[in-house]
Amino acid sequence: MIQEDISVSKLLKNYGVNYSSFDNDTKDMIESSSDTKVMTRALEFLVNIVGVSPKRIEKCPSVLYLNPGCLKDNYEELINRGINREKIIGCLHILSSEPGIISETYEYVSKNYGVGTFNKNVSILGVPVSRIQEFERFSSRMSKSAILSAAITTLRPAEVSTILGICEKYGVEPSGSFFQKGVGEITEIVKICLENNLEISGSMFRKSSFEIRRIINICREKNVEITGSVFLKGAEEVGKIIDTCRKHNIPITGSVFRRDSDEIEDIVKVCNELGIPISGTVFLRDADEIRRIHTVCSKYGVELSANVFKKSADEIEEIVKVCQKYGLDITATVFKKSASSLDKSMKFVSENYGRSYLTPLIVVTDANHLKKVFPYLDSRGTLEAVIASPAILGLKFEELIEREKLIESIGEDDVVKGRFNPIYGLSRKKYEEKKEHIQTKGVVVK
Amino acid sequence: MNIDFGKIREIYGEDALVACNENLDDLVKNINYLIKLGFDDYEDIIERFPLAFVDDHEVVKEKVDKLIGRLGDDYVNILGEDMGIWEELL
Repeated sequence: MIQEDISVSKLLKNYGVNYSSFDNDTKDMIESSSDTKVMTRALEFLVNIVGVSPKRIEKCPSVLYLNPGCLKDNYEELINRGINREKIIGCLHILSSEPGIISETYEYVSKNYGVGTFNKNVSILGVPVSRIQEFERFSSRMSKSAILSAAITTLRPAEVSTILGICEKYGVEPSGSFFQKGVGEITEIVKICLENNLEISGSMFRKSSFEIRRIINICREKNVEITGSVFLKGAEEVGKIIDTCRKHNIPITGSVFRRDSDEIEDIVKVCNELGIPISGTVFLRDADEIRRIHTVCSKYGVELSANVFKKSADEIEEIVKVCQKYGLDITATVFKKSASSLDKSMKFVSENYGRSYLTPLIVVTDANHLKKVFPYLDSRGTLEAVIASPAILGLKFEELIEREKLIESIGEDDVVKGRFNPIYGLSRKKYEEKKEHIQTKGVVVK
Repeated sequence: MNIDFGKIREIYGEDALVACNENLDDLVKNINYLIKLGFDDYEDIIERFPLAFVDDHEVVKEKVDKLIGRLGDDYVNILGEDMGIWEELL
């Protein structure tokens, strides 16, 4: 039991956390929680080791009173599972999970939903497997990703069933955001969308129906296209963002609504200072991160194209190092992939076939697909053509085989003047027309 | 719109799907632009070259306009005969 208010306030202040920002219920929870030594260790770990900002802790104070002794172990478990630090900080509450939950849930979700789930949904790692299984009974009525989104909420299965009924009534695909609201609000939001001829997007369900009407009105008054992104902020802030963008002559694309108007001002200032063109993607990062990205790009001589801002400075550095390891010129495309997947693809190709095969399209192709296609083409003696015409890699292995059979059936060569037969390059529609033509007219083998 | 995201995952990996998801607004705008240009096989184009279409819409539009400008009036047919040309957008 923490004995004195002032001790808590002082302790938190030492780490930059503002105790008075908490409501009374939160203060009660903190006060009835573990002792100051445990809380000190928790704060020390979060602020000085992980680098969590005090503001972030103020937004998620449960880390201070729910299992504060588990933070370090849970953090290490997540890092060992490949969840990056930024994502963990964005989802701080999962550090308060009971021991064993993260590990068990990771195994279950990876096996049944795919490892890629965690890129979009780190919160699920704080949910016990038993709860996820409760919602799997609805698998015929909603997607796997919606099941996980429902499991993250505090909704009971019966409530989720009611929400699904509304979605089915209005012909709307239930997405995760639907489960952030009660039944009445969802119905109202769907009605507003239908009235205003708007596509129903998940981001709308983060707002009340009242707020959605306000946002729609502001966008209409200011003549701004209403996309899902405008619902990322409150109505007043949407208005300020639009005004700020117009003041600085910034195109009002979806990404600007990821930032507050103040943040946009900071970003514009940094971009002007560093001579960075203000494209939509710069708003994916805050001003400090843009500065870090600029530093990394300058260090490695990477052009500040729009794509680099889709990655953090750390990720850019990792990608650059992978490219340098294999002697690959850095093009904008590599920043659309992760460093680890680029490494796997480049390692496979360079170790087995040589660096001459490291072309832009090949290096962004998944290693598992390369591992099927490359050996096959090599066995056919046609692999070299992939350098001049790599688009064959855009076919599934089964599609490649099917086209190969058609080419053989008409007596043509797989490779013509160092490039793959044009049949591999036909669109699906043109290929089907060609196939039908060959099949109805009969095959002529030369 | 019936894009085979399973095919994209198989050929370009999970992170390509993440790129599509994170840039959905731009991807949709780019798809709508392909439709406007007369590409009724836009799903095939996106499935084969997803990473070319997750960029900012204005950037992609400029690249596409440049490409079809170079190919001439018969651009839909030319690109249908040789999908590899789309690689220029990468």
